[in-house]
Amino acid sequence: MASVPSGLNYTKEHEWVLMEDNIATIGITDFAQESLGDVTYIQLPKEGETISKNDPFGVVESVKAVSDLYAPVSGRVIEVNQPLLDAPELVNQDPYTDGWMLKVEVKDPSDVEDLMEPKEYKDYIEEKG
Amino acid sequence: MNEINKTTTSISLKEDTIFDRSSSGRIGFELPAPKIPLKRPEVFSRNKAAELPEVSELQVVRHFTRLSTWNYAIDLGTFPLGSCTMKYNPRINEELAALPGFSDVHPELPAELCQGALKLIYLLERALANISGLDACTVQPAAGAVGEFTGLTLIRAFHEKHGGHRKYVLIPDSAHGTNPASCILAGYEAIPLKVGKDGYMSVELVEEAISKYGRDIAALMTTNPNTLGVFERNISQIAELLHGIGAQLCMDGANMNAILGIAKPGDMGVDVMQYNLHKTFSTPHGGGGPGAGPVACRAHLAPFLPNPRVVEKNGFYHLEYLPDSIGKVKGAFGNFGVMVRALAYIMNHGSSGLRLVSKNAVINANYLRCRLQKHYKLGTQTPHFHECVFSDSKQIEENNVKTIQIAKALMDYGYHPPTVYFPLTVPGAMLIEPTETESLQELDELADAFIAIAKKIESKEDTFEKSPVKTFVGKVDEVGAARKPVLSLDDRAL
Amino acid sequence: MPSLPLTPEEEKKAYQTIGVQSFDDLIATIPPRIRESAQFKLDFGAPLDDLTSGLTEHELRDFFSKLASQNRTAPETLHFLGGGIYDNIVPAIVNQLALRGEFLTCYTPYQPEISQGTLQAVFEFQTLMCRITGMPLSNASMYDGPTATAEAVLMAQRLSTGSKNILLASNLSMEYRAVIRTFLSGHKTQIDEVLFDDKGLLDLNHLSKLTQASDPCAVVVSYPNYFGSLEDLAKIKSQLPSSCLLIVAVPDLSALSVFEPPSSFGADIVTGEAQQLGTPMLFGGPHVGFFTTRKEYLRQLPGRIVGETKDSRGERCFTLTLSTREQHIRRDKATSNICTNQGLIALRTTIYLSFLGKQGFQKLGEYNFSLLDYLKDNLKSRNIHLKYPGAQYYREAVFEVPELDKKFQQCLAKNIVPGIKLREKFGPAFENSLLVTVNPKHSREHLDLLTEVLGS
Repeated sequence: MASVPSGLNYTKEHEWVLMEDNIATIGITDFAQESLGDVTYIQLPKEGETISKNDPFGVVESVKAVSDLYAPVSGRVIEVNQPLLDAPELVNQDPYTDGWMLKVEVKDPSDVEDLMEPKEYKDYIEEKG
Repeated sequence: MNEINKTTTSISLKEDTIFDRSSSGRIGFELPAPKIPLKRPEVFSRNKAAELPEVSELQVVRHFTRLSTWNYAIDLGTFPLGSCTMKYNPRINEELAALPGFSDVHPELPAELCQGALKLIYLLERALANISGLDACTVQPAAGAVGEFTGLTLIRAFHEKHGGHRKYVLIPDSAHGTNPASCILAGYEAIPLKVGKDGYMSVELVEEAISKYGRDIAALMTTNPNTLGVFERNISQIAELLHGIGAQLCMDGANMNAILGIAKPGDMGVDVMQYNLHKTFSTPHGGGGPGAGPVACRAHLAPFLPNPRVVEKNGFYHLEYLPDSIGKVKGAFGNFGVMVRALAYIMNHGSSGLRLVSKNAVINANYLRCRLQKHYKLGTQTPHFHECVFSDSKQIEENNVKTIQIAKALMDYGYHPPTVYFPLTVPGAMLIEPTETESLQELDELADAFIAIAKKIESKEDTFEKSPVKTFVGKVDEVGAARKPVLSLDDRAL
Repeated sequence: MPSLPLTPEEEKKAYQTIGVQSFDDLIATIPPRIRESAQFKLDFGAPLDDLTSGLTEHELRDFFSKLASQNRTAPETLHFLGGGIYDNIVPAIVNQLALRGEFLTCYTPYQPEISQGTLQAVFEFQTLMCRITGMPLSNASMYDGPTATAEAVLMAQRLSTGSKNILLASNLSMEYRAVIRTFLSGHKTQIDEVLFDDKGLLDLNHLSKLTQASDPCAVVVSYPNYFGSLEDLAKIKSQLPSSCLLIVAVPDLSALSVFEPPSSFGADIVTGEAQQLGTPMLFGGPHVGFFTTRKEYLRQLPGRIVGETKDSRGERCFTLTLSTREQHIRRDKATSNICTNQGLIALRTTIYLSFLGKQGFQKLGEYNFSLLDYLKDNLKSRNIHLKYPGAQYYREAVFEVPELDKKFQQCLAKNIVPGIKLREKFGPAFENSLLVTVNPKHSREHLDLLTEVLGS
């Protein structure tokens, strides 16, 4: 059963968000990395670029599948996880810690309000699986 | 039950790349030197010669012969690949295609000097039109995917001439991956249609789509029989609905091997369809091409066909250029060498022979299905034609063994796996198409292999995690290949 | 008709196993109306105007050899046809090896463990294309030069964050331009053509004008161009803004045996046709397009690619890779809808180039170049001149032949096809223009004969 840590918000497209003041750390969930299989490549925006809530901001590829990454919040990218880009397998090993993808300075922290709580997301993926 | 084991050990030599055999200064093939002063360019002349191999004739022959022994092929054994129609490739076709009068002909010859070639194209186009029950045909597209694009572009040209551009193409979610990709290329948005639980396209869902999108629908792309091997029984009704709003019905003819002489797309309401000569008409797959994807269409789409057209008048064949043509989808006339083989195949069989092909393809697939259905869960209960689809749900539920493992295990039994994980609507799909050129004996042996695998899984004797183990190379690290791509000898990205 | 394995007895056994009475039960889901009208007629001209039981092998040989005999080929007919498709000498082993059942009847190498032969051969093909074009990345081949170049244009559009406009050289073969336009016809794209100057080369002033006006994401140039001459790629590149990719179409890959490859001049994508290296003309196909480009464009590269990897035993092996770009996974987001390469033709090319070898490849180019050079001088002595004398040629060139139509007919009467008339392709300024092409089958005598007839 895929892990769903508390303290995070979740999207229907299987991203997680950790809000600390107005800085959002974003990644993909355990369920997502499991469905994808061994991740071979990740494409993320560069530092300084902006992302828009609900718009695709990157791509994660495995041998047999590819998924767009959708922005759960709007804001400016302040940090990208470079070690992840060099070793995409980190997202399979540790999707919530070492496998974090990017940090974003959020314009409007209320962006997370329509995202799912851990329990909601757990139910959501149980339905799917 | 006897242990099924088609694999043995035999002489199959390892081999480095041909470049590793080079020795500086070695001369290979000799061209005749023209008896004139030999010169080299002075302007833009090449500084450093391209580093091609320097090997002898025997080295070349050994190298590629060794490589060939590492391949599985139809000539070696059954290829139960669903949707690919891996039937026997008749050798007479190779002989005919190699005739100098077909192979050494330049397409820019004046028409009077290539009447045989032009006539061949004309005869094949007419035969393919007749087989489909449609009015005209072009053999220019180089492959099925290009054929799809061509069909959609014909539709676009038609709509633009008669009332304006439309936006959407409806595609069942069981369709082959090239279908939505061809849509985008042709300038349409692909709207997925859910396939019903019984595997059929549902009239209700088409009606729903029509009421939602109306005259913005340009076409619906179908495959019939569909990718689960099931005949779309509602197709005529759906065609009527589409025609009612001026939309077109296009058909992916990948599964024509099921219905030659048994059902004509023209009678189903199809407006345009593409064939795959390398599937239905036996032209060899050659490790990934060449093929051909001819497109047959109704008269109202014919004015837009790719240029040039071969026409006949008083027994003379010449070229005509249509003013409303969509242009060209391939250089010259298309893959003429493939056309020779396909026409030979068609003439070898005749209309009765082609019907027998489909009849036997359907019988073989149903026979195989019956032998397997006690051991694997069927993907759909509806009657199927030339292919059948199973899922891995039984093996996953009971022993957590997936389709990929079953597929790799089959290789250790001496078989190419079936098509896996397609269609997407069946979880862990195994799509199996034996074709008519397999004997019942071969089908029994294939079934025995599948069943032996199922039994080993059931008895927990093996989960086939390590498979394949008997093949020339062990399990290939595809993840590593994607993570750190090395795409030529000089490419050391590591 | 050829006999299929299923005997009448086996058919009965099959029905029993399946649990039906007859074949009709198996096709019962087809609506009766459709089933009833399913018959079709095959008409191949009297007496084969309703071919039902088919022809035997012997009868096929008869029918097809009659058709084949109506087509003119060398050596009986001496021809000087080129324009993107070239006659060449195919070594015996190319046909023999490519006809091996394990190469001919195998499938796309999706299961790498049982397809290593095809995979390694394609890896070697990719390596050869890179070494000849000088570009670091090649795919597994494409249908032909024109479609490969159309795919290059689509790739340039995908890479562009700005305009999707395109410029095409008007001295790029009409086949290439037509295929590019049709492949792009699904989306509104501004495609402008750059004129050629009085040397038959790309008009750099016009290029500059159009570049400013249309802000293209790519320019497609031919090297050699349709008139047979080599463009100054360095000059062309220097005129392009950094946002505009230089796509160089090489319709005759053998030209790069003696001419500097486009990579040296900053080309971003180099595509073209390799048919003239080991594959017969086949009346236009199947041929083999190649597609090479820069490393950084890897993820936008269309078509299939073979990569090197290891197996579970630690041994080197090969596999199709980066398939997530392709249609079967990305579906409507695929980089292209291509589902195939030209496996068997790429194999032929690999065998041919391996056998021709480093020195043979250079000789091929040298012979082609020298044959045209000799012919040029010959024709000049008979007052038949190059239409564009100021340019550098490889193995074909446009000549002005006074009374061209009459001369053409005289040639035909002597079983000679002297070249491709250009009037229909390029307009009235080409009234007497003839594209004359040499190939390795030509000898001095052939060129002398052509000179004799054209110059008489």
